[in-house]
Amino acid sequence: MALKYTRARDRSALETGQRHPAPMEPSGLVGNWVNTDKATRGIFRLVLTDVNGTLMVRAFGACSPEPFDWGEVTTSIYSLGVDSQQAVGFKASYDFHFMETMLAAYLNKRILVVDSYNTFKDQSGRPRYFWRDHFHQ
Amino acid sequence: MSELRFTRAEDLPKADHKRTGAVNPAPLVGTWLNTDKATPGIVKLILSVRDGALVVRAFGACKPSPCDWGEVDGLVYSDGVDSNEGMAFTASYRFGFLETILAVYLKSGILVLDSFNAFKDDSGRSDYFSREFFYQQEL
Repeated sequence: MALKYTRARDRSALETGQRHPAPMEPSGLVGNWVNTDKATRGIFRLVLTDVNGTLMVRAFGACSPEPFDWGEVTTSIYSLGVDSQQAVGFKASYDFHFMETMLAAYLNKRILVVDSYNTFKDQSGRPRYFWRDHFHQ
Repeated sequence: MSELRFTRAEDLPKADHKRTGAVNPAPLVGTWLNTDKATPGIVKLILSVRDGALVVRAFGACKPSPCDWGEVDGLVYSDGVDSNEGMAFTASYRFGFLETILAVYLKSGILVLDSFNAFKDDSGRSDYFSREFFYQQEL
């Protein structure tokens, strides 16, 4: 049966005849990641762990006097293409009740680039905002 | 007024903060073309505003003509709590067999698009990430 697709990139496996039903490998993302900017106002540190094949993220926000522990949430992991099983990116969501944060992250030459998309749900009038942080291991 | 809650320093506005609320999508509006003419990903984005909200229409690289993904709503983001000028958006496409999240931001006049793609069928294809760059088509 022909595979459905939305763009040529979806079809790579079909064209090569390869299938990789095995789970994706998150090991390249696992570890302690520290912001390259010590004075960041965003995310100070990330801890990524592999729990039975599920990548978990624990983020720490830049707060004074101590970083704010956001707690641990599950992620969805992504490879570089339909034929690859090596995870190079992840997506995760935090619901703080007064705000929601989506993390959209990927590895670029051993630097973890983390974009956060932040939506306030309280009555503070603060607009949604985007923020980018870079991390090294 | 009660103290603002926050998860990091960037959540807190500067002292002269004006409560702005909605983010203006106008800086994102236009027709955006992939800088890679041979992309196997997304060839074109049309961003428009309807009733004050961002509308996203993406076109995938297909032959003989691009696949029109249709229109979905976009959520617009500023570059900080003190700004209401749109410089990023997210949008979600649900194709049934595939879900695609677009996470996109403007940088120096280039639209940088990250897509997070998760297959819902039994094809065995890996979920994948891709990054593409777009420039604005001149009128």
